[in-house]
Amino acid sequence: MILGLTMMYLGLVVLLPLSTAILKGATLDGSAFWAAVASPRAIASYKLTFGAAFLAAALNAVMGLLVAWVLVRIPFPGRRLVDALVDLPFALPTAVAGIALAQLYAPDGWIGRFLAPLGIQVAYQPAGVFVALVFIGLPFVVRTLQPVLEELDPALEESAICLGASRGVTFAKVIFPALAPALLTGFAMAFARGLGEYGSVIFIAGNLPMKSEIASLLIVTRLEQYDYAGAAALATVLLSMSFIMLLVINSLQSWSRSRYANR
Amino acid sequence: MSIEVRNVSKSYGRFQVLRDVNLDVNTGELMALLGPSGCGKTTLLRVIAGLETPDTGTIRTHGEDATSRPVRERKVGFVFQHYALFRHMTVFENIAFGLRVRARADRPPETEITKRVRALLDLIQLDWLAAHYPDQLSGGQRQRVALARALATEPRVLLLDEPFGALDARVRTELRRWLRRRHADLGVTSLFVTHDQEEAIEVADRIVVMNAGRIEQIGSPAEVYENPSSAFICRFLGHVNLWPDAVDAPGQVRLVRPHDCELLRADPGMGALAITVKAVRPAGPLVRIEMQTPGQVDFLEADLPRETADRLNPVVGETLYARPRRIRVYPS
Ligand SMILES: Nc1ncnc2c1ncn2[C@@H]1O[C@H](COP(=O)(O)OP(=O)(O)OP(=O)(O)O)[C@@H](O)[C@H]1O
Ligand SMILES: [Mg+2]
Repeated sequence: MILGLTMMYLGLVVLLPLSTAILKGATLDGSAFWAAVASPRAIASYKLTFGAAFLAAALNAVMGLLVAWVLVRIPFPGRRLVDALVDLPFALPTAVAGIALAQLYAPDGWIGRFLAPLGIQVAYQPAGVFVALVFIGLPFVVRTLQPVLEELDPALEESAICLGASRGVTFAKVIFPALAPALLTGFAMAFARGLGEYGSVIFIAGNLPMKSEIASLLIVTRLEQYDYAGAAALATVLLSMSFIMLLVINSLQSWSRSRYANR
Repeated sequence: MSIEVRNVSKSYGRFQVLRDVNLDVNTGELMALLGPSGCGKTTLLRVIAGLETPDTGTIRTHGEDATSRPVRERKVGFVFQHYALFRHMTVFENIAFGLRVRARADRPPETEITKRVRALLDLIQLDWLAAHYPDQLSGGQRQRVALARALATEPRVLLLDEPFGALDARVRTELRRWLRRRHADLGVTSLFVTHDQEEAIEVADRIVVMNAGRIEQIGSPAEVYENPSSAFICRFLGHVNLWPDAVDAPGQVRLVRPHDCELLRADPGMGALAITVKAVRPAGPLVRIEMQTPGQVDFLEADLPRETADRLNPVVGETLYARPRRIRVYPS
């Protein structure tokens, strides 16, 4: 009963809209479909989207772990404030985030002006996509790790130290394995969000075809050209690739959970 | 002397948890640290292990000042109440942990580690569970693994914080008898926390009783049980009756243990108390009589050997005379 209800709900809310997109794409015949999804411009956009989302999620996994650790373990004045700050990327309209980031990293912006003499340009470049996705993805990692860290029994670390382990070894062998499943979840969520992110990216990416154009922007471009079938074809490809990746991460996660936590 | 605690005090904020604690644990001894909840037992254990720094005072283990030594160099085994096993490691890996994390120079070769872990698995009689994960074990099995893990590094001092606290009564009794029997072979100096006086009396060579951050008495189980140094300890170690007295004695409490209480059908005069029998309950080899004196709300208890009870055959509701064989008098 409850399984049926869940399936129906998921079908209605998630599957139905997705399948409409796929059906629309299927109105194209084979060669037209292929031309739409395998054009050099489309392929460049997939590379950028997946590459930037992956790298941003990876950086967020590392930094998010650090932020969560500091927020849970190290008492400092203003901790509450910083804690609230972490949620900001969730709450901020993505366009606002995009515009703010673009201004910061523009060659005459607060950060961009220090990078420019070094020959580093972020805004209106592929690197801009990465920066936007880092901003958007951070809370996913922090918020999945935080409760797990809070629940971690201090006696675990204390036993390790009493048994003669150094702090480094204690982290690597005792704490990290306990956090690994949550870290992977946070990574997957940040990654998935990065694949679908649109609003913040388009303001900072510059959106040059073949260079700094993300896949979801390409879809919008096709729509604006009234090429609905082409847009749907692209969406189908993006969708299946995302789905496969999330499936891989999910199974990795249940593997690590069974290995590390053995529930 | 294996553990010497000297003038240790410790506060959390304005709350003083340990007040000038002095304690010696002899080499090879199994000592019980007994006291009511919140009296500072865990804190004292953690200070000895180095997990907590004392505000004042020193800790010496085996004659060396350990106060400023980092925890990992103290060679102190610590067994936590809730086991704190590493869930992502098998039983074998858990026990081997302390050996495997050693610096390369003094890490035994893997064959030696395997040998030592096997020996410990034998000791705790769980060799058949070596490849299992902690979540697949029962509470009693987990506690034994935690003990083996702490013993693997051959610590000079073993500290156990309510090691049997989370177990059911039967497993608890089994495990403490096992510890009692094995302790001599282990040759490790142990201090274990409990708030179960029976456990302390049954297992320990000596007992130290704490109350409100202070040490109240140290002695063998017999000493502490027979000659409690204060009314608090007398009450804490087993049942006592607060004995009412005809003559008002202000500033005194008179305590009588249930087994020091005689029941008679005829009034023997001097010192006997007329009581009404309220309940008769067989309790193992003893029969417990609950009774009440006129004008008192609290029940008194007398434990009679079965034979004596059979001969007396007390009936609920009848009046008998209770005469204490031994009264302990303390200033109140
Ligand atoms: N980290 C801490 N911060 C503040 N107060 C603490 C801390 N640890 C312990 N206390 C307080 O110190 C007192 C003694 O605590 P401790 O854990 O040593 O008691 P205990 O004798 O082990 O009690 P129990 O038998 O319930 O385990 C308690 O009143 C407790 O509230
Ligand atoms: Mg305690």
